[in-house]
Parts: sequence; structure tokens; C-alpha cells
Amino acid sequence: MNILLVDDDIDCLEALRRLVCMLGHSCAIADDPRDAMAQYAQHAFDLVITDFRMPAMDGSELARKIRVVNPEAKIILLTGYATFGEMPGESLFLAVIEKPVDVHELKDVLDKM
Amino acid sequence: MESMKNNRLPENEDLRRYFSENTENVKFEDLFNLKDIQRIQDDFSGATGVASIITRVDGTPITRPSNFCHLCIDIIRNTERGYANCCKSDAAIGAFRADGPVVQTCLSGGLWDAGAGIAIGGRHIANWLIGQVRDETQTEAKMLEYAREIRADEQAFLTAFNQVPSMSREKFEMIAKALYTLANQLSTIAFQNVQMHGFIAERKMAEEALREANEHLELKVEERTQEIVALNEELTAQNEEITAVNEELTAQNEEITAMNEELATLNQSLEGINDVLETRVAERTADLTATHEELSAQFDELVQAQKDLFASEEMLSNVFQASYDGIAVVRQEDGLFYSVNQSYCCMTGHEKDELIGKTVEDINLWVDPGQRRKLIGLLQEHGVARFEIKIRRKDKTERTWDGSWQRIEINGVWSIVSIATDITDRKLIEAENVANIQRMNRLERLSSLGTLAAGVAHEINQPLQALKVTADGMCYWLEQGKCLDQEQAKSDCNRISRSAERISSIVKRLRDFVNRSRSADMEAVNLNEVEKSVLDLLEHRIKSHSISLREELSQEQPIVWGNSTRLEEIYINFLVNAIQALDSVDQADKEIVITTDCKNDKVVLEISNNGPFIPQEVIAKIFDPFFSTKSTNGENMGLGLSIIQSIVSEHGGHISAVNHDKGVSFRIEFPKHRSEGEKP
Repeated sequence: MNILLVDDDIDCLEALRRLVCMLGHSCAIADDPRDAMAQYAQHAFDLVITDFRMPAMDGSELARKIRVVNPEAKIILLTGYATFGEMPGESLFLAVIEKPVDVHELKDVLDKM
Repeated sequence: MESMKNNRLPENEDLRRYFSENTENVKFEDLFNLKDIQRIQDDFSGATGVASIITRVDGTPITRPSNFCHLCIDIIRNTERGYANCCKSDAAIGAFRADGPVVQTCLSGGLWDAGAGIAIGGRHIANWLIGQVRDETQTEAKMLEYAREIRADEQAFLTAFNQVPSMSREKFEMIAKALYTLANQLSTIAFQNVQMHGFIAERKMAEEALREANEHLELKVEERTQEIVALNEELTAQNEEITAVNEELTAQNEEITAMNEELATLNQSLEGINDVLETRVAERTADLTATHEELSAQFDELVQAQKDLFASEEMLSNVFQASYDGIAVVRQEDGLFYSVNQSYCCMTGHEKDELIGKTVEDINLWVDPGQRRKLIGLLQEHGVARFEIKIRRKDKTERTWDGSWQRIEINGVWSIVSIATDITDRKLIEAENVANIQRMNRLERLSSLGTLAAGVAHEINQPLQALKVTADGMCYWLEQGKCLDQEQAKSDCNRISRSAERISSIVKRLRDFVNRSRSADMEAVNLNEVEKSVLDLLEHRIKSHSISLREELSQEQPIVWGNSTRLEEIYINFLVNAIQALDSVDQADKEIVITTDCKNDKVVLEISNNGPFIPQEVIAKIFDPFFSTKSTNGENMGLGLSIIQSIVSEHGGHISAVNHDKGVSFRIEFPKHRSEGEKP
């Protein structure tokens, strides 16, 4: 699959890119949701994996904007938030994966796509 | 001859006049030294052999006769007639002539005579006569005849006649001519003498006149000088007089000026007095009017006061009865009840009848009678007292009263007015409150820790994610039996190490925070440094929430007396709240502003955000414990702002929340810490 990874934390982003590539997918990365929007408008990505808390706009907002462009878009949310309760706007996402991400959990989610 | 004429008639008109005026009294003797003339005459006679004499015009002799013959001198002139004739003859012969000498025979003896006149300035003054010689003209007969005529001795006369020298007529005339020349010369000399004399006289006169004029002038000068001196003295005197008069006038003038001023002053005073009098009259009138009005008013007031008094007595009685506080008046000595109000009855559980006329001991009021003795001691010392007491109600239950007492004298008896409130219930509530606060503080700690933990969890989660994903990826790859690219592996390991480092750093800061929390030591703390320390923990989080942070920090160091960890908690709570408030809205320019300011004796901290306003009813309760607008999950337990308030109170500060046009501000005022070691 062709996957767009979005996270403002460069280390997280790079680690995730490495893992997703090891799992056999091709990756594009964006450390700014606005950059992610720009890339999504140019390339047809099969999947978007985004962090929730980011400057400029959070994961939910990004998901809403992507859905404006492509209502059928597949988006997975990564978050450290779930620990303390419900997550906002879950219906926007195919899946919500808690940080830190477990490689097998991620592989299962991607394999189901 | 010419010169003679000139001499005789001076051409000078002045001189001629002079001579006519001055030769009148000039005599021959005045003009010539007679001794010199005598010698000339004698010498002339001796040389010529003729007799000679100089006479006046009338013929009287001036000189002594020279060489006179015996006949003339001893005979003829000795006779009366002879002498007279001689004089006549001499006068005749001497007659003045300008053309030459007179030569003729003597009118007396008849001998030859000659004469020349001597004149001066045309005036004949003398005659020089010569003669007494004979020639053939004279005869003895004529002589004898004349002798008889003059009655002289004829014989002697004749003898003498013969002795008379004889000479020729020619010779005699020559001698006469010489005589004439000599006489003229004498006239010239005489004239010159007269002239000289005149000059001298004139000179003398002039000198005299000059002297007189001089004297006159000196006199005049003297006179004039004296006059001037006198005048000067007079003028000086007059001057002094004028000066004196002037001074007097000046003095008088000054006096007049002074009098004038005095008059003006007096005038003003009079005007002033007049004004004052008018004012006083007006004031007096006004006073009287006012007094009259006042008296009327006082009268009205008195009437009203009397009415009021009745009303006020009634009112006091009502107040006494209606007072919520229990009021009692008792005798100091034994606590005998004089008067009680309704509240007092309720508070003791006794009816009014059961109290009046009884003592406190009768109704067993005081739980500790020692307290009453202490009260009376205080009243005797201070007159008033206030403290809590324990009392026993009619039903034997014990209550706590907050009482105030005053010692007063009623009809000469020391009494006590007691006003008391039952505070038993209030004390119970207070005790409960204290317990609540203690519990709340514990919860605050937990909440604070929870807030912090939530932040920390997120901070840690990011590097943990990077770490775990990297490590997982590497393991997965190796599990697949694949080889790691060496460069890739190195990069992955670096990321793992870096992430672990980030976590370690967060943990360290957390440990520091906890350590500092344990210390409640107060010290001088710079709020700007507290903020820096807090932002080390939260800045990343603020940014990751798309919130910009603006700091407006005081130039003057905002130093407060406090505990830096507790102060950090204030910042953390405010910032976390602000982040949450801003998360709840969908807006682009989310902003938190931290401001510190030093004003007079205060340090002001303000943390604002441009999130949603806080409704007014919420602001009123925002610092209450357990009040929260947020869902009660682990992150928000509604204790944040109450924790802040308690911390602020610990630091002697004051907190307030306000809505403003851009959002919400929390403002905390701390007392400024002035200098090192000085506690606020």
C-alpha cells in the first residue's frame, strides 16, 4: 500500500516510516498536517496514519479535511490519549492505535486493509 | 635872535597856556642860583670895568652892586632923592626890549648907563644894569648942579665924579651889546629853568595827582573790599537764613506729607471701621435672625425630642426584646438576674419568670464557675470583656457562648450587662470545615499530581513511541531472518538512544519537582525563573496543542517571598487549564499570554488565554473546591483553581478571574519581596 504518515515528532515519524517500510509498504511522511494536506491533494494514498496532537491542527481536524477531499479516505489515528478515556471523533477513523504502537498490532491492522 | 623869540614865545599851545597861567608868581630868585649870578655879575664888571647890578622890574636890587663907583653908591644913593632917581633910572634902563640894549644916561647922576631886560615866557622879571662910566658928555658943572639938587656935598661929589672911570661911547656900547647877549642868554636859561620848573611842578602835580589818585583808588579798593566783605558776610548770612528757611520748609513739607498720609490712613481706617460696623450690624442682624430661627428650631426639636424620647424608649425596649443576641443584666456580686430578653431565655431554656430574682448559681448556669470569677476580675480591671464561655441549659445540655460583658453602675450597685450568642453550632461547622479543608488539601495534592501526570504521560509517550517502534521494527526484521543494513541500524540505535535520553530527562525533572514539593521552605523567589522552570516541562505540550505562547515579563525582577515548587504548581495548573480551554474550541490563533509586572509593593502575575469566556455565574464559584465545568475524569477533578487559591493564600496573595474582550485572564497579586532576608 501507499501510506502517508503524519506526526510532528520527527523521531516518531522516522521510526514509524522504518517500521511501515519493513512491513512491505511504501511511505510518504509529513511532520506538519498542512504539508500532509498538500501531499494528499497530489497523490492518491491508500491509507493515512496520523498522530492526534499536533500544532496547527490536530488529527481529527486533519481527518475531516481529508474527508472533504476524499470521503472514502482510510485514516488510522495514533494517540497517547486513550489512556485517560474516550477519544474524540472516533467515527472519523478506521482504527485508533494507542502509543506506543506494537508492531504486531500495527501489522494486523494493515493486513486487514 | 630867532631862538630867543622862540624861547620867549613857545609854539606849543599847552606850554604857552602853562606859562600864562604859571609864570605869574615866578621870581628871578626862583630861577637862578643867586650866588652863581653874583659871581657872573662880579666877573663881568671886573672884566669890563663897568658897575653892574640886577634889579627887579621895579628897580629894587636883586644882587649886590658890583664895581659900583664911590659917587653912585656912597654919595648919590645915600641921598633920598638920589636913590629914588637911581631906581627910576634903573627901571627905565632895564625896560624890556627885543631889538637890543637900552643905552642912555642915568636919570639920577647922568652917567652912562645900559640895561637889558630878562624876560620869561614874555613876562619881564628882572633887569641887568651896567654903567657908571663917563665920557666928555658929563661936565663938572652938571654934576655940581645935580649935587645941589640932591643936596649932596658938592666937593665930595665932584671929587667922586673925577674918580669915575671914563670910556669911549663906542666901547660902552659894545659892552652894552655883550650885556644884552648875556641877558638874553639868561632869559633862555630862565625860560628853560621855568620850563624845567614847570615840568617838575607838573610832574610833581602829576605825581601828587597820581599819588592822590592812588590813595583814592586804594581807599576805594579798601572801601570796596570792605563793602564786598560786608556784602559777602551779608550774603552768607542770607544764604544761611535761606538754607534754614529751606530746611524748615522741607521739614514742614514732610510734616504735611506725613499728616497727609496719616489722614489717608485715618480715612481708610474710618472706611474700614465703617465697613466693619456695617458688616457687624449685618452679621448681628443675621445672628439675631439665626438665633431666633435656631431657638424656634430648638424649641421644635425639644418638642420633637420629647416625642422621640418616648418613641426611643419604646424602640429600645423593642430592640432589647427583639435582639437575636441574648441580653441579660445581672448583679455583679452574685449574678442576680435583673432583666433578660427573649433570646436569652431561649438560649438558656428557662422562662423569664424562672430567671428574674434568681442568681446564676441558682440555675446552675456556668459549667465552670471559675470562668465567672475570671470574668469579674477582667471587668473590674478593664470594664469590658469578651470571650467564649461554656453554659448549661435547663435540660442540662452544655453549649458554647461567645459573650461580651460590660460593668455598669445601676442605682449605686455594680451590675453586668451580658450580650451573648450561642456559637455551638457554628463551632461544629467550623470544625467540619477544617476537616474538609484538610481533606481538600489532600485532594488538591492528588489533583495536582494527576494534572502533572497527564502532562508527563504525554511528554513521555512521544519518545517512548519512537523508541518502541524502532526497536520493534528492528526485532521484526531480525525475526524475519533478514540482515540489517549497517547504516540503517546505526540510525535506528541512535534514535532509540535519543528517545531514551528524552524520557530520562523528563523523569529527572519529575523527580526534581517531587523533591522540591517535599520542601515547604520559603525563600525569595523570582517568578520569571519559576516560569522558565515550568515551561521546561510544558512548552512542548503547549506548542503541540497548536497554541502560541507570549511572554511579557517585568523588567524589574518580580521577587516574592514563597516556595518555588508551590509557585510552579500555580503555573502548571493555570497553563494546563488554559490548554484544555483552548482545546475545547476550534480557532486558528490560540494564544496563552504570561505577564509579570511590579507595581508599587505588589508583584502581579497574569495568565491569559483567548479561549472561551467564563460565564458570570461560573466566575463566582470558580475557586470553590470540587467546582468544575469539565467532566470528572482523572484529568479534571475540579480542584485546580481551589489549589491555586490556597497556594496564593499561603503566599499572602490574592487571586481573581476576569473575562476581557479577547478571552479570560487569571490575575494573582503577591506582596513584593523587598530585600534579601526581609520577610513580608
